[in-house]
Amino acid sequence: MQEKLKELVLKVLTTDLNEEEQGLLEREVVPAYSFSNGFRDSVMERINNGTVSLGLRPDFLRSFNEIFRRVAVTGVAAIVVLIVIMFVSQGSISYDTLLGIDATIDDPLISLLVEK
Amino acid sequence: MAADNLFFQDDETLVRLTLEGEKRAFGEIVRRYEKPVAATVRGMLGDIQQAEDVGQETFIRLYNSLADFRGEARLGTYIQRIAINLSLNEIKKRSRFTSFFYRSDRDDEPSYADPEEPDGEALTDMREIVDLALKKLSPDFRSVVTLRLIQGYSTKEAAEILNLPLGTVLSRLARAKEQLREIMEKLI
Repeated sequence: MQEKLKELVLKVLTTDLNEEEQGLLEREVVPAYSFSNGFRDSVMERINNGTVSLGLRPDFLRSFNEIFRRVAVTGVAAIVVLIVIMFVSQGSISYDTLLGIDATIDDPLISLLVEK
Repeated sequence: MAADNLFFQDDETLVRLTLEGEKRAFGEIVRRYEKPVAATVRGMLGDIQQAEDVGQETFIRLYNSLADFRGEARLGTYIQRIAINLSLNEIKKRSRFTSFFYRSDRDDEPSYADPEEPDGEALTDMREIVDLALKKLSPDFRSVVTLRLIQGYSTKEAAEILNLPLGTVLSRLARAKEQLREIMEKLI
């Protein structure tokens, strides 16, 4: 009998048992685990004494989180589009390109400063 | 009034009533899922005081996160997921503590619950054998075996609870089967 039950324990891990085998497994093999008698009362006591909250957030915070997420996603998308446009128009994405000074020619700038 | 006969309410209604402030509805959820949670945490951790604490913490976490429960999974699955994760955390915490305070000279990984060996006599009660064998499995294997053998979940449900791909669960079950065979042969 013990050998049969052992095979059943191993079988259930990889195969579905038929009704008879499942019944035998539940009757003879599966340990009857449980908590102590006052388990439910202990849980409810912790909940009722107010130290545990439902985790409900005010509607304002929920809405704010939702809006923040949407703004953040839109912002990231806009930055990506901007970088792509820069790359297409300038041919590269250097630090100067990002600052918009890649096309600056030094000579007029120097002469402007010298004249003053 | 729905709250008057909580026993007959479905899980969704109990969740809704709890969120509306009816704490008795949550009491009914605890009553309904106390045994499955006990099977999971006792299967994972053994018959120790921490198992009861983890069981309590499972329901407290559920209560805390009930507002975020969207009903995409069944409530039972959601609770089991919390119970398994808390049990695995407890095992990690315990093994960190053990490795910090006790230096083991053994090459093999020490089992969490360190079950008592039978004194040279073969065990006869299959429940006792299974209980002892479970504790000798590594935590990853123990979680899949607990869900499949003790709780009777299908492989697909076990994968959903553990948040793992089905293939991983199948492979863990196959390897756990071999380990379990060896362990049980020594115990019987």
